[in-house]
Parts: sequence; C-alpha cells; structure tokens
Amino acid sequence: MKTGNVSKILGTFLMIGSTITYGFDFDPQVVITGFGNAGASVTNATNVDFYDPIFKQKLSTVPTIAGIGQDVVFNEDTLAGLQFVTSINDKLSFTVQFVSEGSNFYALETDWLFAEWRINDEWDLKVGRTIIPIYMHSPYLKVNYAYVWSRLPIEFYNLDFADFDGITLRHTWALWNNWKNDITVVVGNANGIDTLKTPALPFEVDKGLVAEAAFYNENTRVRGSFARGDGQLAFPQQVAIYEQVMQNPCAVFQAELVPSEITLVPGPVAGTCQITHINSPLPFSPSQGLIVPDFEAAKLLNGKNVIIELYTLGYEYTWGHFIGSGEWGKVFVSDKYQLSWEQWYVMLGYNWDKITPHVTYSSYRTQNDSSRVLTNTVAANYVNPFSYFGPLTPVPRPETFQQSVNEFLALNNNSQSTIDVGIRYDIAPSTALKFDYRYVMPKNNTAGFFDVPPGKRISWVTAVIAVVF
Amino acid sequence: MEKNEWLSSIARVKKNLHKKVKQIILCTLVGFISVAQADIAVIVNPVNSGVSLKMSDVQAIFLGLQTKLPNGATVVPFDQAEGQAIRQTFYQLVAGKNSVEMKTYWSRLNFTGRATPPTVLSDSNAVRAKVASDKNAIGYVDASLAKNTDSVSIALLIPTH
Repeated sequence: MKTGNVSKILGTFLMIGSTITYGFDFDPQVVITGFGNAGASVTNATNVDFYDPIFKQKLSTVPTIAGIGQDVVFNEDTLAGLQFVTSINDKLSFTVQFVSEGSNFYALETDWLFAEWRINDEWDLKVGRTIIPIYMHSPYLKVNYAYVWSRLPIEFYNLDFADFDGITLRHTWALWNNWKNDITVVVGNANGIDTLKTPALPFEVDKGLVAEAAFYNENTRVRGSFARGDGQLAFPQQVAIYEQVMQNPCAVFQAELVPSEITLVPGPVAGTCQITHINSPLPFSPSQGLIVPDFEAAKLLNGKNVIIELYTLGYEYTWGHFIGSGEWGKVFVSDKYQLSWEQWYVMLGYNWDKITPHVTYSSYRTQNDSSRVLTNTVAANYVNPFSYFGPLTPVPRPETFQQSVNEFLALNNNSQSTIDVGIRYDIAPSTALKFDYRYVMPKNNTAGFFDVPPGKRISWVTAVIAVVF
Repeated sequence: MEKNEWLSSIARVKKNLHKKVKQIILCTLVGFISVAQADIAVIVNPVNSGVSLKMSDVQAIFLGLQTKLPNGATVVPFDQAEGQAIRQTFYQLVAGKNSVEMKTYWSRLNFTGRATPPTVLSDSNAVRAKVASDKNAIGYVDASLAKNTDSVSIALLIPTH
C-alpha cells in the first residue's frame, strides 16, 4: 500500500468517523512524547557478518543480526523517537512516531502513522502504519526503557519485518476479577523492503496477517500469536536467473557461479546441459561435464511466492519483587531451501528498590528437515560446479544433486544458545541504566549468529542508558 | 501555713504544667499521624455525584483501560506530579506498582498507540480545581480536601492505613 493511498484512506476515515460520531465536534489536542537510548556493544568474536565458506567472502548483501564487532560499536544501541498524538476528540486521534536509529545511519523513519477510532472501551480500530505484534515485546521494540534488557534476546528477536501499512482491529473483553482478554488482528502490506535477519537467505515480505490473543491483569500477561507473511527471497539477481532459465535451462548454473568461468550449452540428451569450456588451470575433460538442469533449483533461485508462518507463545508476570518472562516460537518457511526454526527464552529477575538484576537463557535452533531435500527424476551424473573452486579437488568429483542440496542446507543450519546476566538501575523514574553480559554458545557444530569456529564460545557486552519523556 | 499554701500552689502549677505538656505532645503526635496516613479520595465532578466506584474501576480508569463511569459518562483521569507522595501511595494501593513500574507500564501503552497517560497536575489542590471545573474529569486528592465541599464529589475513599 503506497503512502499516498494510506493518506487518502486516513483522511476519509477521519472525516467519516468524526461525522458519524460527533457531528462537527473538533477540539484537537496534541501530546508530544519521546523515547531514546544511547549505548555501546563489543564482542570478542572475530566475524560478525555472515561468511560464505564456499566463495570465501563476506556476503555484504546479507544483513547482520547484531551489527557488532571487536571494536566498541555505538550505532546499534543508539536511537531516538518522537511521537505526536493529536486527539480530535475522545474517540478519534491521529498518531505519528518518528524514529532515528544509529543502525540505519540515523535516517528519520516513520514507524507509526495511523488514525485511531476508539469505538468504545471494547472495540478499537487503527488504519495506517503500525508495528505488528508478532512477539510479546514487538510493539515497543524500539522503546528500550520498556523492558529490562539492554537488548532483547537475539535468539528470539531477530526478525526485521515490523512495519505494516494496513488495518488493526482490537476487541477487549473484561473477564473475572481484573482479568481482561484482547484479540488483535492486523492485515496489511509490508512497509518497503523488510528482510529477515536470519542465517537463511533474506526474505522480503510483501503482505501479511497477524492475529494475537492476550490475557492480562495488572501483574500478569499471557499471549499467543500467529503471523503469516507472503513474499519472496531478497536476492534480485536470483529472480532474474529464474527468468533466464525458462529460455535456457543451462544458464542457471552459469549465472550462479562467481566468478563465471564455465560455459554451458544444451547437452546431447534432451533436458541436459554440458560444460564446453572452463577457464581454469585445472585439468578438465568435456565428457565429464554432463549436467542435469534442475528446474526445482531454478524455483529456489526465483524465490517467488514464499510464505513464512510464525507461531508464538509468551508470558510475563510480577510476583512481589520477582519478575519473569518467557517466549517460545516456531517459524516455518515454505521455500524448499529455507529451514524452519524454533526459538525460546526464559528470564527471571528481582526488583530491589531501583536495581533489577536478571538472568536469561535463550535458544535458537534450525530444523534440518531432510524431507525438504529435492529428488531428481533424471539420472544424475551431476557435477557440482562448486567443486571446481575447492582447494582440495583438482578434478571434478561426481556428486549427486542430493548431496549438493544437503550441503546447501548445511550452510543454513544454525543453532545457538546464550546466557545473559544483566542489571537494570533506575536512576530516575524516566531514566534507566542497563548492562548485559552475554555468553554465546553455538550448538550442533554450527557457526551461530557470530560465525564462531566450531567448539568456540564468545562473549558480548552491552551498556545502555534509556529514557522516556 | 503560708509555706504549705506556697508548696501546694507550686504542686498545682507543676501538675497543670505536666498536663499541658502532655496535651501538646499528644496533639503533635495525633497531627503527625494524621498527615502521614491521610486517606485518598477519588473525586469526580458534581454532575456525577452519586457515582460509586470500585477499586477495579479506579484501576482500569487510571491505567487507561476504561473511559466510562458506571453511569455511562465519559471520564478523563488527571494525575499528580511524580514527586508527590500521594501519587506513589495511590498507585501502590490501586495498581500495586511503584513509580518505575508505572513509567514502564505507560511507556508500553503510550508508544504503541494503546493509550496516553493521564495529564499531570501539580498537586491535590490543582486536581480538585480541575475536577470541580471539568464535568469529565476524575482525580485523586488528599481526603481532607474533598470532604465538606460541594465543588467535587467523592466516588471512592481509599484508606491508607
């Protein structure tokens, strides 16, 4: 939904809503509030970008998860937000929230831009841009003051598609005692290009749906959500490759190689390709170059019509001086080469006057689903082109397509757990100092989010001052 | 005899003096106790007199979860300044939250468009004046400011001891 259409819808909505409800009553009041945090992080990990072991290079197009390194980094933990709420009357209001983040070069972005109609105490309707409630803390993700950590657990909060232009409808039920129940549904289009910061290929969400149910009182909240996003893989060149393969199936392998040093032509057998030339000092025989084209692989490269689904549960409570929270989530991606993953965390803290120490254990684990491996119906004398560029193999080695797929899946496989020990100090009602030490443990012989060598562990610390006003 | 009369009058003076000192000390103590444990009155405009609120209603209104009184009238809450002791006592009794927890609570609602925090006024006198002049207003004040006056109506009296 383009911004212009959103504005037209907002204007129409306001006009109709105010006319129906209150005639021409117009008594606007503006409330200006804001939030911000400034901080720094550092780690002893040597690689914090995604590192492709095949091409031996950092994939600069793949966004980092933590955006930190061995130097002290300030940008990732620094941002400021300003919010304007114009109340037309007690039913209608208009909200706009601007955020400038260090991780985005301090560009001014519009995170929230919506008109709200509080139909009554039970029904609430928003039209415009909102941050969708995928996870428990998603709606106030950037309000660092609102939670106990200096950063939310990264094993859980690693998705980036948060802004949606659409409609949010919420209904509230009053239950027994002070308990209430909210049902919230959000439908809309993603705002611009929102990619998932996951170890798998980046994913662009076009449109989505989120449904959340929450039960809460003044001390406890339990909630669950379902989210679905429709989109495509984020590598534009792969979309172009899909278009080419329709004309020339052999081109899919040629275009994938970096640098492109193999020439492919249709082979002697219909539906096959053959290597006719390879620009390499290694010995090569053209007869070994019979390659089976794989339209399934081309679909991977196309990456269109990919669906992501998320299921989450979460809780938080206050019991005397104790505070606790936790969430669990399962993510499925329809693309055959994307792995689903499971994530969770548990936090326990104790509020002692102005100081709140806390400890958190968080986990992220991809599901290596062998049933997703494609089968090839054509007899395979398949040569993995990548093997030509390996340092150990001077001649092409036969390899089934199945093995190549397994190798690709292994690249995306990732598991990591973290123990976070932190403390929050509320030096004033609107200002909090936070410090977290994290011990990161990649699992299952994977590199984790920080590209850690197998068997290694890393440490990561963050210090932040957060304010609201 | 004169000496006995003199001694008796000294004794009477001493006795009276002790009595006075005791009275002064007692009055001071009572006054001190009264100031430390003053009840809190949740007040509404006289147009809503007769409305009786439960603690759960007051909690919902001041936590942004409810905008109506039991009689269906729209209500707008007004808060007191963060440094006021009555504010801390009020939220501790009504919501079980201290000032930091309230700030965190409102930061989650405010910056997600769920609700905006109540407008803050300086003290109980300012709140009473606002409630007296605004038919939709609701606030909380020192109970002594709400009794024996027709300018506001008490919807709930919250004992603090």
